[in-house]
Amino acid sequence: MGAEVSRRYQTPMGPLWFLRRAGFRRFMAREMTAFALAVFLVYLLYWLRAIGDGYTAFVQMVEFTRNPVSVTLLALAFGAMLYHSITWFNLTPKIMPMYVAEEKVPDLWAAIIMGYLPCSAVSAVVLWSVMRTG
Amino acid sequence: MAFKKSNEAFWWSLFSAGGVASAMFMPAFLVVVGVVLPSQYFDDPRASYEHLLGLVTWWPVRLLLLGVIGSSFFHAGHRIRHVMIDLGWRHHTAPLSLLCYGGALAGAATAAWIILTLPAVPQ
Repeated sequence: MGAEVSRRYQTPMGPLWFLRRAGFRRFMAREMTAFALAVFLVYLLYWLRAIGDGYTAFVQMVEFTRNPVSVTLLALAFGAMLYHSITWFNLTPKIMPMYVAEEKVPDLWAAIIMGYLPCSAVSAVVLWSVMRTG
Repeated sequence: MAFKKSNEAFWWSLFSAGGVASAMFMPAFLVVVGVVLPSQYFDDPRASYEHLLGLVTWWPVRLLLLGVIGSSFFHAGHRIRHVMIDLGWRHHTAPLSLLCYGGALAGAATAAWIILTLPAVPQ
């Protein structure tokens, strides 16, 4: 990086290079989920701020969330976050292989044990905590 | 060719922590704000508000939210920096790094301020 430019030959590559192959497109879709995450995190902070500001602010936030633009954005963000979770869990065993008694655990099983199962448990606890009454 | 000295490993560790935290929590958080809160609100808005306030001001939940949201900001910042480099911002990356990591730091600091100062009594 920095100001120095490599003198080795570099093939010209436009900004849309990733459209050429399905694998590149999936890679870029995965990386782009970061933008959805950044926006959603700011939106979550608005929610927390509204909850702290009191009942009126909370009601306004719920009303704001019901608007069709907000519903569409939330649906898109949900898709992006689900894609992030799935790609993350599937990559985990490739970066951090799992062994049981010197035997490598198949990637799918490792992804389930290190990713999908804990994520399901976490989701269940989060939803239960918010939905339980009394 | 010698490798250039870089702080990549440090930022990668934060990226990785935030990647795990966001992969675990964000789908559920989206269901909460997109579906659960609006529907609970129709049943009994006041009770729903007070329950939610009690939940997010419970200290274990505050610390959890801060950890998840704070680390997720660093995940997003690091990944956005790499996306921009992959899309062609290859030279003079210092402003890009400043924007991404500075933005992540600002996001995490704002999250800390909001989450730690939430008043526990209904306003």
